[in-house]
Amino acid sequence: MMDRNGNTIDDWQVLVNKPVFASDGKEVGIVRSIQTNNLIISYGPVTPDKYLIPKSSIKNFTNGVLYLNDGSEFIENNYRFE
Amino acid sequence: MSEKTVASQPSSAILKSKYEQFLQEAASLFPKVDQKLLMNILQFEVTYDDWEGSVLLKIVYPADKVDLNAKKDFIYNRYQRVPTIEADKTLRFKGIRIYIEQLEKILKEDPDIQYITGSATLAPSDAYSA
Repeated sequence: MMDRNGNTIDDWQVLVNKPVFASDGKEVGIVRSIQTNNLIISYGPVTPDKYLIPKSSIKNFTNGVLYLNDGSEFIENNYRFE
Repeated sequence: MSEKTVASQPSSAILKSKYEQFLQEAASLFPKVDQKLLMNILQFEVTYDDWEGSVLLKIVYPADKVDLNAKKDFIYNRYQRVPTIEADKTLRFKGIRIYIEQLEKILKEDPDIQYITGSATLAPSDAYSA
């Protein structure tokens, strides 16, 4: 499995509990679970916002941090589901 | 895998391997369903014959691509429950008799669905509780 830059993510489960950042540098949240086509990201302690991020949006995974191709505003408008 | 190879493996390794295969198959058969929800429904359904299928369902649609009010009407007509809309893309309602066959049917009838999540509860509960 590869991200758009050709970096390999051999085992998707390594992404669980890792922080996620948008392309503009803002924090999106933490990876909570891996689904077939998407990652579930949550942000916030009590009633967290949840995001359904397509795996195709992943830019790369470097030093334990997941970076996305999309900006925070796009993510908020298109991927937040709860 | 030959019988000899299987016999020489520890039981724990065989069980783990079969469980992993099972999870992979579940994910490929129901790619749009939260796997935790799927496993909970399956467990309750298989373990308790009289489980009423009490499930809080959250059905996620792609943003700005569907008429959520039409979807809301569809849910009401089918389940007699009025779903709430969350984050402009998710319908949330508490249903009963939501078994995995029902999930399959919902997904087949509505290809617009992007993802289904929620939680299954063992005890009967009222229609609007979380």
